[in-house]
Amino acid sequence: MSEDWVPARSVGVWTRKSGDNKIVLEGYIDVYETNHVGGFIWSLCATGLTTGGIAQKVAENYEVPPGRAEATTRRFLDELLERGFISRQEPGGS
Amino acid sequence: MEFEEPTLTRLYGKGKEASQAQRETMNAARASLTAIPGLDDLLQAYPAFKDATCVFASGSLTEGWAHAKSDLDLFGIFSGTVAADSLDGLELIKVKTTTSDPTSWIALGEVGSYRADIEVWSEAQVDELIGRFTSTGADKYTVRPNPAERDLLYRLSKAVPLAGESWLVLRREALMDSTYGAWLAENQKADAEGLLEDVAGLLESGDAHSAVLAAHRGFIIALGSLLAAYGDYCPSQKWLYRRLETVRPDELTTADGWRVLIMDGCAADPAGWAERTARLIQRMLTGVELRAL
Repeated sequence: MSEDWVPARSVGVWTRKSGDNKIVLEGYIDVYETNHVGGFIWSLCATGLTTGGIAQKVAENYEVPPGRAEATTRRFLDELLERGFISRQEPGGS
Repeated sequence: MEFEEPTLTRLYGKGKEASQAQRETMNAARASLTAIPGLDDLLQAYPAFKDATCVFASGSLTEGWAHAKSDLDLFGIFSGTVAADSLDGLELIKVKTTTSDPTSWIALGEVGSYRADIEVWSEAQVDELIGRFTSTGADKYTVRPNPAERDLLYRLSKAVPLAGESWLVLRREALMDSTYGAWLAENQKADAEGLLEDVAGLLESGDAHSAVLAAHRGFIIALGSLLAAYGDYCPSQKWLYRRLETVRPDELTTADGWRVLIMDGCAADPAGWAERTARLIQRMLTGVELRAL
């Protein structure tokens, strides 16, 4: 299993709901939209949950196997990280 | 809802900031610029603006106050009503106005390495707004400009033209010769005086904490009134320190203003701080009366 980390929302990202639990995320110029599962994961990014904790919520909410939820959640969080919408924090950090 | 793979789809922008390396390149490009993008850059990105009567820039970039995430604030003034479909390809936000033509637009785009907020207004809307404050002066029946319109008038007062300079010069002169500044100062003065009354009542009733908050709010509004009396129509409180430092009104030093903004000394003596701030507000508003009204 990969190492756990805590996704923190980047300061200065604009967010808004766009219907059907989708979320619009605005960087400095580029604007992105999640689908509803992406919106669910994003909603947990400011809660202090670790990547593993978020994956567990995904598994429970959508009734998918834990392994699939883990892989899918980590891939999406890596994409948010690459786009600059979140940053990595160590578990237990502030 | 059914599970599906989470996705992130780009709605607007060209993906120039999709990675950390790209974002650093964009930041470096902005930091290295010695001048803001010009008309050619705008027309290359958005040809519809070639028909504008006037295009001007106005904001933190032109004031020299820009930061790493500042956007480029541009304004396109057109001779007739502007149809949204003429601005095809831009993300558009509709803005309600109090003018006869009740709509203006904010187009979100990118010009060079900047995010650009491009406001689109008609000549008639600008003239109507300034016309409310010509020689006869505004009165209680004057339609109050809404926040978007007050922002436009401020931007006009500080505009740097990219095209249509002669149109801009005439409107800016009309605005600065109008009673708009006095109206703005008087309106904010009235709001500040309302808060002074609250401070007095709250102190009398022993509610020092609420008196502090009323005094702080009153000071910010009174400062806006004082700066308006000096010809600074900026509606943004974020820039109060910068504005105070630029205008340097006789009634308040920048250092004294900053101490009140950060509520220096308030924690140790809330009631005393609220009372001292209320006295300072009174002196500032007396200055507004002498200067603008």
